[in-house]
Amino acid sequence: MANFFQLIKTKVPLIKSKGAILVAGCSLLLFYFIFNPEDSRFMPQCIFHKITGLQCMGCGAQRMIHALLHADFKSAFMANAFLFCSLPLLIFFIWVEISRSRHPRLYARCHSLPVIISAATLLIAWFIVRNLLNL
Amino acid sequence: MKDLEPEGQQKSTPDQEWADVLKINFTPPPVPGSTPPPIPEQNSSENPGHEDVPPMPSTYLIWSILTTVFCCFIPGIVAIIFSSQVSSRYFGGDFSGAYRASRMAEIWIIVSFVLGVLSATLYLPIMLIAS
Repeated sequence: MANFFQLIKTKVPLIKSKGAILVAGCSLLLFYFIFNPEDSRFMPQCIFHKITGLQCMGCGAQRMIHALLHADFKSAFMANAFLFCSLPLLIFFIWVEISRSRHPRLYARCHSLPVIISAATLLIAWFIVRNLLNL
Repeated sequence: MKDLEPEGQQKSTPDQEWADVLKINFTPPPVPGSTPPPIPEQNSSENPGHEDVPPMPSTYLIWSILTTVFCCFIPGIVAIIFSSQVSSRYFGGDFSGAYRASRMAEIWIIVSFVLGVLSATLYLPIMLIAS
């Protein structure tokens, strides 16, 4: 269980795992391009939102992806403002994670304690603010 | 150093004998006449100490944030806390503690991901049954 990622890295050949991730990502993007999450009742919804009625940090992410794929930036911003604003930062951090073996210094610098604490406080602050202001 | 070396020289012969008897690798203490050999030894023992710093264990920060946002957020926040512990322990010099925190972060990310995928896949059958 603990060495799950290591096991995947060693057992599955690199090209195959990369191809599988690419195919899964493209099919998900196609799925969200075709279906509008607001139209059908059968799209998966946030369980936390269903139970408590509160909005979690990621509520509206599906609507945001659908709007982004249709280049509708205003409704993407309305769906989840925090995620929309932090999208470039998320892409940068994914790039840092992927190129970790090439730039280990950059990885250590980007994952220092202030960065992690500010990310966590931003997430929790967004959670509180959006529930107070009904964003 | 010059005061200690004669003591080492006096002990060296019995220690060497015991090492031969017990078949232990025994490096004899430096001879007082030759000063150059100890200095490179000290340098070589110090240099690995600086180079011995292992690479930072994976903090899984981006994966914990992504699972917090897209999957179940309570285990995701636990994973973010563990990834902050990885960072603080690594820069504090506790490398084994950082490795342990990294593994815990990994486990909580898997918990969050599995819960998110389960809720997404079980949502459709539950709604079909309910309607």
